[in-house]
Amino acid sequence: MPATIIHRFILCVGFLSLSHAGFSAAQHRSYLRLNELDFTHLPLDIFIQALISLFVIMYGVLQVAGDFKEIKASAELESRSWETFRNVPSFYTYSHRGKAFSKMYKPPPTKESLEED
Amino acid sequence: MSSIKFSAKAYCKIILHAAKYPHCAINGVLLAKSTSKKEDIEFVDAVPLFHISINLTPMAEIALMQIDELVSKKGLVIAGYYTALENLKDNNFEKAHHRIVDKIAAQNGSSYVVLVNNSKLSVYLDNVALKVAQYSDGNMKPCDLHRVVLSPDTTLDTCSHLLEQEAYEELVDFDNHLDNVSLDWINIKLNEKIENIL
Amino acid sequence: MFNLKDDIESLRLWRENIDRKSREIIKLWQSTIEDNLENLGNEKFVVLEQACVAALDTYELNVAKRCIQLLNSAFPNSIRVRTLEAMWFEVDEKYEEAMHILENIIKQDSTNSAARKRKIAILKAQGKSIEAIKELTDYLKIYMADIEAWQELSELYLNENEFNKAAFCVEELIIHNPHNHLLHQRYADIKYSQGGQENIEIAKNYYCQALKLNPNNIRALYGVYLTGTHTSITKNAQKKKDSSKLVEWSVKEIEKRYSKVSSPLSDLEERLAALEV
Repeated sequence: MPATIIHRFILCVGFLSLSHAGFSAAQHRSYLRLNELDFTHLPLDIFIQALISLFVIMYGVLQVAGDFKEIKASAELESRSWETFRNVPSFYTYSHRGKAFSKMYKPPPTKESLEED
Repeated sequence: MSSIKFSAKAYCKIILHAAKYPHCAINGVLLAKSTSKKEDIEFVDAVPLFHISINLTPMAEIALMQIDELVSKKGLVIAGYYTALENLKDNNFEKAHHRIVDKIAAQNGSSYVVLVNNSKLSVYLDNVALKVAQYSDGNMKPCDLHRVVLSPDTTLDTCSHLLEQEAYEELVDFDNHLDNVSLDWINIKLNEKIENIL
Repeated sequence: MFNLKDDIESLRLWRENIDRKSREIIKLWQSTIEDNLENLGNEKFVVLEQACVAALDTYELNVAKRCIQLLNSAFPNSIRVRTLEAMWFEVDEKYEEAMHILENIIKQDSTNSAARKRKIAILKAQGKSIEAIKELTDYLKIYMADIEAWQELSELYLNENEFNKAAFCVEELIIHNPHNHLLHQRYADIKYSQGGQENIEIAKNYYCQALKLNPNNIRALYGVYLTGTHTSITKNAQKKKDSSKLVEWSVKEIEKRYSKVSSPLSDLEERLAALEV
């Protein structure tokens, strides 16, 4: 599914939230240091915010980065057929019947057709 | 003068096959009644075969085996081979030869090789866009164009009509069948369509 | 029905799958794309290029001209647009003008491979297959890793019935892409077409490998059946037994595939009877 602006927005929000949680944690530690308290654990709200931002970022990245590929290298190719695989665009020629079936094409009179008539 | 007749089904399918893949060389076989006389030949149906690398033989062998088995029960034989060349300017029989032609000739004594005349193709078909040759003992002998007859007379109009309707999208050749086995190279529905328009 | 988003999506899919659906592209162009170029966003120029190639394929010269003009005004003096101009001349068989443009591009940028490839395509279009093959082999001496070129060379050799050389090209492709079942199957097809006991053995092995990579490759399955039938004609009792087993297995698998079809084909028994040993 192609990424939309909403997905990119969600990704931004996730990053902002994670950096906010990081700053809050740093501020919390400096507060504890100033008050000469021991640091044992982060406050629960910062922890929850960091965890939620992690999941939001994961979701955003998965949407923006595109579809997953199969692990088996040959699995992707199972759906390909010679119909499309044989097309080599760099070498396409245009001197084929497609011209004849176009309404715009006027075939030049050939020696053969003049001889036949 | 002995005639080489093409039924509407045979002629239309050849042209539709050529129109479906205008940028490829295509080939197929022509079916005739097994009781037909040596000189006169009437092709009652065509089976489109390939449009991808038509010179490779394994799938051609499989196709011939299956077609032989099927049509012999209906009193028909594979009597001819048709092809259309990739380049618009290629209109001679040199490049038209294929091992299928040898196989048909081995079974029937000789075989007919039909080449789509690219220079006569257009959106409005006003004359027969085929060249016919007879192949026997390694020699390709072009047949007089005046021997080629389309029966019924409305075949060309029917064919133009089908091209306009883009009926070639419904045509199934053996390559299509190999990509998706639910598609049938007998083309029952297309045959009915051709009958209805006639 | 006017549905621009769906049309853009179809065009994108055809671009990614390298589908040569020129007629359909022109239909979409005429129905929705032409009047909505400004709504295509990032894809505008890729779509113009795609429409241009489709127009050249179907001889819709007005459409091609419009696309080239729009691309020229957006990217003046672009090499890519000049390559399209060369293709425009090709369609009308003005090969000298086309060659002239391509040679100027190569003079300006000697590393440009697209122009060199177009020169080879022009030789092909003129029916000069031997010269095209020679130019392409020279090209590959410089650009050895160009997979497209190897594929094109294999097709050119097949058209000339040079099976040995075509097989060599496919070997190169397999080295670059060993997981592609289509290449293994194609290699086996070529070996089988060459004929001879040894080649048929090789073909059998490659068909089996193709099936290992993709069990749904019907051509490979039929190929296993054919090669097994040929290799079972041998005095070696063990080989005969192995080949017969392989043939039986392949016929069963083919029957399975046909039976999975939702609306069974007419005369299915006769078709499968053709395969019975």
